[in-house]
Amino acid sequence: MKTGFAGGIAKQFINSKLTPLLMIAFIAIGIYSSYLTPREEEPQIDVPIADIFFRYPGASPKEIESRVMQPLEKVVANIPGVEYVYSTSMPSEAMLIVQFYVGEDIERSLVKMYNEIMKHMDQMPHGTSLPLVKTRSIDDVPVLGLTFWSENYNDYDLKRIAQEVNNEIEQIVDVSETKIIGGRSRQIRVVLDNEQMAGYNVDALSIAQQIQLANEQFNTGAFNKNDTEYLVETGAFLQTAADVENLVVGIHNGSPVYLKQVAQILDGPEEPVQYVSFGFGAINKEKADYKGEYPAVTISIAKRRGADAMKVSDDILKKIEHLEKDLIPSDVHVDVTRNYGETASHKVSELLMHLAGAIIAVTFVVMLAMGWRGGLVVFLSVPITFALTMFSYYFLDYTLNRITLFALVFVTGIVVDDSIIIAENMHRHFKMKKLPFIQAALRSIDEVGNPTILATFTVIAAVLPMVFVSGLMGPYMSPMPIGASIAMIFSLLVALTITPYLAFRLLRIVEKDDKVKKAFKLENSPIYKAYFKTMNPMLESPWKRWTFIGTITVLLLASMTLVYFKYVTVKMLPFDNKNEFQVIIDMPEGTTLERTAAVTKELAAYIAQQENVINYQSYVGTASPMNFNGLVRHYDLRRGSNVADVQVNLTDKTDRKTQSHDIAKAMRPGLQEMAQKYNANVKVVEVPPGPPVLSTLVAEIYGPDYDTQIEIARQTKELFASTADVVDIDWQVEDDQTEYKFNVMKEKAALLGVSTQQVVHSVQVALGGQEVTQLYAEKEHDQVGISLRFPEDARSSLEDLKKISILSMTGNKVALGDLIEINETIQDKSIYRKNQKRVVYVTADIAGELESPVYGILNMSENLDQIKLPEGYFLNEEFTQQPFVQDNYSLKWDGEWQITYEVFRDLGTAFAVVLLVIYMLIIGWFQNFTVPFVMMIAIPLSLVGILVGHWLMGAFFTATSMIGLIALAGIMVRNSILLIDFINLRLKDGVPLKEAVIEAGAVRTTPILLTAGTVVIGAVVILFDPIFQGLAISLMGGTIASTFLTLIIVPLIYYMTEKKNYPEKEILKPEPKIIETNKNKEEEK
Amino acid sequence: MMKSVIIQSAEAYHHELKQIFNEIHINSYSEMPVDGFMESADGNSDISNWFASSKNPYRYFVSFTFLEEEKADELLERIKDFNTKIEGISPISAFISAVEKYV
Repeated sequence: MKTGFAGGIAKQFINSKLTPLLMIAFIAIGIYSSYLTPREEEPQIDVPIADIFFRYPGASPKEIESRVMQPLEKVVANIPGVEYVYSTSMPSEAMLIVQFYVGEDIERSLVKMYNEIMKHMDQMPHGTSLPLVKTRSIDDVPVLGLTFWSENYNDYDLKRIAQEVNNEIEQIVDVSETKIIGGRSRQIRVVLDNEQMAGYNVDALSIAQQIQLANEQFNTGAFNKNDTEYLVETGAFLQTAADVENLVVGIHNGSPVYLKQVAQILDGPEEPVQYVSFGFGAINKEKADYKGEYPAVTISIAKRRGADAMKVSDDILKKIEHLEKDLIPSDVHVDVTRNYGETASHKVSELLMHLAGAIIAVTFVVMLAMGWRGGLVVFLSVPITFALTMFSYYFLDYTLNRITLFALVFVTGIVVDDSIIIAENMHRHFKMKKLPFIQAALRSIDEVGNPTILATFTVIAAVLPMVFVSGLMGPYMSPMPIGASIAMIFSLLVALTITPYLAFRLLRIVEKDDKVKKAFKLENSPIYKAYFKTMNPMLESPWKRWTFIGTITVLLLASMTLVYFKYVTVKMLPFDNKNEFQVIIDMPEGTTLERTAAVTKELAAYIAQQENVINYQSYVGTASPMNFNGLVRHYDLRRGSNVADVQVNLTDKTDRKTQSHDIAKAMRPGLQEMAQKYNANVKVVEVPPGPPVLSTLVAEIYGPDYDTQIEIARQTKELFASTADVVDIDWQVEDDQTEYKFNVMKEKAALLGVSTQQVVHSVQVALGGQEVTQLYAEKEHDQVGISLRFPEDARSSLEDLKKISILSMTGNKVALGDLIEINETIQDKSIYRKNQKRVVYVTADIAGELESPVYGILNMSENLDQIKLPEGYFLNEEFTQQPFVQDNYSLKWDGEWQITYEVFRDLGTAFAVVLLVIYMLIIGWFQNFTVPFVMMIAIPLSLVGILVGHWLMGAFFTATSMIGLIALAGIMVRNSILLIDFINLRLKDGVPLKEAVIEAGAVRTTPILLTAGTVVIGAVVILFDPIFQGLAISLMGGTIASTFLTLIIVPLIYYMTEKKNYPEKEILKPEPKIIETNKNKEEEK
Repeated sequence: MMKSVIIQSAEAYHHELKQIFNEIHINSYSEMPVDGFMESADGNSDISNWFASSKNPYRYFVSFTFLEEEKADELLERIKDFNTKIEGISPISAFISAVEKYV
């Protein structure tokens, strides 16, 4: 049999015994792939980021900035692929953050960067350390957090247990980096006694030296004797505290001075530098038994790249269960305080359920239109499409995350189309009974082959340009168009191979008994009547026509004002419903660790009282296990006595009604009120739904003078505070902290025989607690340091410090107070730079009525003139880029705004490309330059439904809404094609234009409504997902509005444009066709 | 008496027709594909067509052969039998016409 392209493909499969086997094979491959593909919650983002740390002891921030950072920034900025260079110059140290463009090859980028930095190390000032380069990636985010806590054990013991457990965990395959947070390590503390030291004529420095010198053991060689080689090892390491105690640190009056004589040696936990504790929330049943807060140690575990988080977590938890039998004491509790494996798995199964729901719902719609057999054909072919898509995900190294799955949910309503077209047309041909079934089947496939292929490519053309969304949002977006396109292509293949096979078997049988055939008169069908009634008046009267078009235009404009009047608000992505959030606490610089801990405890107690909180962990002086947000914000680097954060875990989202965002929002005012009492800055930080940024709202102040920049930042901060909905305001300028400068009086020191270096080291030992050497302990997990320090009471005032004695070169004791003069100053502030420009950041979050930073920015933008500047300057406002020059002051809005801007800019561009591609596709098909415009009128019409839909649902117009808008363009144009195609077909038959227009509407309404129905029903299942709600509303609202308007306005406008080509007076009589063979006439009777 | 037999059939029955020819030992015949057009054979044309945009011709083939009269009748009989089996969907048509002269 001769067939066209589509029929040719179908012919190979329609009767092949291979087809059912292939169906089974595809499904099996799909299931297997979905099992093999790693599951995770967030998509993988390849942003090569490197943190580079420098030490330059003694240098001021300004010096570091000009001598180290500036040259280095220039070097780094010259590397191709670098997007941002952030630098922070602090007293004595500096940090450089290099962020490459998203998608740059990580290894290559980092090698390039290393290379460039190393090449220029010779230009660094003398005294700088070698750079410490730490790379970071999304895989550093721990997937599992285990918190060990106990009533009976202290944090020192807990840490030792945790270390043992950690050893076991690290043996598990796919575990990459583990960290133990909290707890104190073992340390040999040598607490020096100033008076004894003075008495025995030793000083801290000489003790340090003696300890170091005593701790040596070395394989010193070998000697031969009697043809045998003997090895010699000399010396002995310090192995126990007793070894340390009995060290001889000096000689006084001819007798040895033992270390224990001048110092107290303590073997045990180090002095605390952090407090980690665990507590239950009030609603937790366990709260009754465990009322308080308990010291805790957290192990955070990251997985290897590409590994399945769920599997890793399961393995670890199994191991813990086993270890609880012997290694972990029964009164040490191990709580899982983070399990991203489980949440990822939940998310994925939730989406898979959505997918199944969508397929079933769509099948139901198809059944209504085509009968249960038609529905069955579609129902069987869609899973095969998805199975193949799953396989390509596996093949393309995608993971199953919410974006890749969302691509599938999103196309469910569209992928059924191809199968519907094929099945329906076969069905129609079988009903006609003009040809043997097999030939009728192939002919029918041929007939719709090209339109099907065109429709498929229109939809692909509509989604594919979204691949080019750049920036951090790119990896979030690109799996969507790629996944959707892959699914569309497979749906086409399935429609040409498997659907014919199924339809040939399922749809044929019924028609055999269908002997009674009613004469079908189009004019009698209800659709025709209804369509005729609406359409005819407008075809007849230009006045009515224009009124209708005018009304639609007004509607369109009116719906757009919804955005203007903020009935529909724009936000990049709404908050997802998570099971956790963080409370970040910053005390003023200069607060003690104990004070911070006390404040944190109070705040934590408040948090524990709140509903929905099951437990919390507070981390004082250190950082909680990093999350995705923290990765970019560098929360994991937070150290110091004035910082703390509380990790709050909520009940599982299925067990509560309130969304995590609302819980966080409700908790904020209470926390901040308490924080204010203590002069603390408290931020409630949620996991952002999209790519993380420094803060939701960021104002960057640029300008020629740093102090004025800080002053402007201070005023900006006040402006933030006076603006509604702006919360969690902070800036990156440290509070004033008093600093005493001990200046060594050079002459005096020289006369007394003390060098400046001696003074510096002595003070360092006294205050900082210097780790002089390490104990040789084979069985310890970590090295045990031996640290030298003065007791607390001997180093808590200037007077105490002045008493420190130093041994001069002549052997005399000199008090520190005699060598120095003390100046009281304020510590220099850190200097921040972004892309080689000095900047001061003011950060804030947005919560309240209009939650999008866009509106906050707009509000504040109006009031920027309140900021007072030095005479002769004015404040520039930048929205999209850093200021070009810095001879004036500028405020650049950044944070989520920057990403929002980039995403909507890129999506807008994608939309433009989409329109162009669709335009070309239609020209290719219709060979006409004006027809595409008529067809594309349908596209803006979807806005009416989309905006009104968002307004009615009270939802944000988000990036996913925008995706919906763009994808709809493809579907809507497809509908227009169906309509105009039919008009042309009838015109060719010689039917008058008006009649053709009405017939087109009457005949093609059903398939158009069917597509609309499947798209709408497919979208219903994602309507209640916080993230994809926008998309669902776009698809539903847009489809409904646009479909009904398209049905009327497209034929109407086509009528208006074609009217002059088909003058009404001249009634075209169908010319008799030249019929080659007048077949079957006799047999018909 | 020589007769010319012209048979028009849907492509799908190609194999079956060949079978009939074989059974009654017709060893020589010619055939060619033809495109058939059929305007509204069942009175409502393609108007219920949801998606198709082009009307493809129906694909048939025509065989013709020259036979003795009784052989031609036998062939016609066989085709009739066949047509009853396929429940009226696109039956094969056959025409016998006289051959007036031949060389």
